[in-house]
Amino acid sequence: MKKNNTFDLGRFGKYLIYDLNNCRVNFGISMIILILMGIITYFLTGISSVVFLGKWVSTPIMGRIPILGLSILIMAIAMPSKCYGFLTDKGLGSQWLMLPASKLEKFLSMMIMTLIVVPFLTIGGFLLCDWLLCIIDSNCGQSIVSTACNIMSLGEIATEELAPLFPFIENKWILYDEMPQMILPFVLGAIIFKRNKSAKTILCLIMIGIIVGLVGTPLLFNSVLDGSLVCSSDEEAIETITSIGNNLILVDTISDSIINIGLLVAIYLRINHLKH
Amino acid sequence: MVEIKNLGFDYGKTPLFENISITLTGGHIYGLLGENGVGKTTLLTLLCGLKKPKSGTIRTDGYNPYNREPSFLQDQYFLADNIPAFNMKACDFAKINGKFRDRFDYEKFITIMKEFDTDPSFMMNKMSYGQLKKCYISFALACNVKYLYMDEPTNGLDIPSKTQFRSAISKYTDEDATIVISTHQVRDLENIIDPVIILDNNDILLNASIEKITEKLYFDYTYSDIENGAKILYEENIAGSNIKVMTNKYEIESKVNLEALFNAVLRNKQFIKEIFNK
Repeated sequence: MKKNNTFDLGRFGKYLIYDLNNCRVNFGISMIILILMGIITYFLTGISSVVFLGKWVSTPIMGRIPILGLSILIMAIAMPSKCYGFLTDKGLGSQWLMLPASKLEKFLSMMIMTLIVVPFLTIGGFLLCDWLLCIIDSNCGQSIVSTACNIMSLGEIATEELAPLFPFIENKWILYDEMPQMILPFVLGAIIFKRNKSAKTILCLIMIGIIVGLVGTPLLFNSVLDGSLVCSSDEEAIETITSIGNNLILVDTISDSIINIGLLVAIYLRINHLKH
Repeated sequence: MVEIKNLGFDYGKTPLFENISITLTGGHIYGLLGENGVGKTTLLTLLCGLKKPKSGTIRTDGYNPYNREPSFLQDQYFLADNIPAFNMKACDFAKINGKFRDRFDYEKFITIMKEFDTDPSFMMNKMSYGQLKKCYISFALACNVKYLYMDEPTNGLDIPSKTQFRSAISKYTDEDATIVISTHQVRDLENIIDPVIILDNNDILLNASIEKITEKLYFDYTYSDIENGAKILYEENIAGSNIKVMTNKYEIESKVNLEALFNAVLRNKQFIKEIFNK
C-alpha cells in the first residue's frame, strides 16, 4: 500500500523513536544533571553549612523551588540547540533533510520532543528526586509536589509566602502558553543561527522586548495617561482595576497564543525551506 | 528518469547555471566532471533536493526533488564529500537509518563493509576519513536506491579501496539504477563511468556516452606523427607515455583516457560542442 507523503503513522513512529534517540544522545547527560540539580544543591548547601556553621542544614522548600525554576530555564535555553542545532550544519543537516520522513512528521516530532517529552522528563525527574530527598531527610520539609497538592486541595492560597511560587495554581494555562513561549524562541534560534544560537536568541528577545515596550506601553496605558480613567470612589477604582486586571490576563493569554502560533509557523517554514 | 529543463541557479550575482538541460536515464553511471567551482556539487545538491533551482525545473520520475517527499527520498541517496561522524557504531548507524528505507539490506551493508576491510562495530567518530567514507559507501549501496548521487566518493580512499569501490559499484548497484558520480580523480573511475558529462561555467561542454566519444574522437597512445588530417585537440608527453586526442577522421576505435578527454574538451570548448551536437 502506497504511503501518504504528508503523514504516515508507521513512518512517524519510526521517526519519533529516531528523534528520541537523537535527543538522548545530544541532551541526555545534560538532562540528568538538571534533574539532579536539587540533590546537588542539597549537598552543596549541607556541606557549606557544615563548614561555616558547624552543622548540617537541609535546603528548605523556599530554596528548592528557585532551583527548579533555574533548571527549567536552563533546559529551555540549552535543549533546543543541543537537540536540533545540528540542522544548520552542512553535513549533519543534509543527512537530516534527506531522511525519508515528511516535513510534517519531522516538525511534529520536534515539537513533541521540545515541548512535551524533554520538559516533562526534566521537571518530572526533578520533582521525583525532590520527593525522594524529602523522604530521606525530613528536615527538608514537604516536597514541592506535596506542597502544591496541599495548596490545590485546600482550594485557596495556603500561605501568602508560598503563593507567588505557584503561579500555575492561579492560572492553569501557564503550562500551555508560558512554557512553549519560553522554549519555542530557542528552537527557532537553534535552526536559524549557525553559531552562538542561544546567545543570539537572547539578544533578539531583548531587542524585541525593548521595541515592544517602547511601542506597546504608551498604547496600553493611553487611557491612564490622558486622564480619561478617573474614578469617583474607591469602590469604583477597585472595580476598574479588577476589570483591567482580568482583561490583561485575557489579553496576555490571547497574545501568548498568537505568539506561540507565530513561532510554530516560523519553525515549520524554516524546516520547509532549509537548504544545504 | 531525471529531467533537467532550463535550469538556472546562482550564489548571489554570478550565475552558476543558465538554461542547462540534461536528461539522465536509468542503467548508467554518469561521470560528472568539471573544473573547480563550475557547479558539480551544486548540481548534485539540486538533483537530490538540498537546494532549490532559481529557475527551470528538475523532475525525477515526476517528483520535484525540492519538495523532499518521503517516496522520492526513499528512492535516492546522496553521498556528500563532507560526511558527518556520528557518535555511534557503523552497524548501529546502518540499522537506525536503514529503517527508513524499505529496500535497505543490512546483510549487504555488512558484506560490503567486509569487502572494504572495515569493521562495522567500530565507532564512526573514531574512524579515519577513509574508513568513514567506506562506511557511507557501504550504506549507500545497501540502500538499493534507484538514484545514487556521489560527490567525490574516492576522496580519502587508499589504492586498494579504490579498486574495491569500483568492484562494489559494478557488483552491488541495480542494473536500472541511475548513478551520478562527481569526481576530479577520473583515473579511479575510468572503466566504470559511462556516459561523461563535463560542466563549464553556465554550460555543458559534453554529455556523451563512451561509445559516442570514441566515435568522434581518437585517442592515440603511440608516438606516431601521422595525424592524416585529423585535428589534434590535446597532446601530452610525459616520460614513458604519450597521449594525443584528435578527431576520429577514420572512425577507428580507441580506449578513452578521461583525463586527456577532459583537457581536450577544456581547450576546444566550442569545437567539442559543435562535433558532439551534430
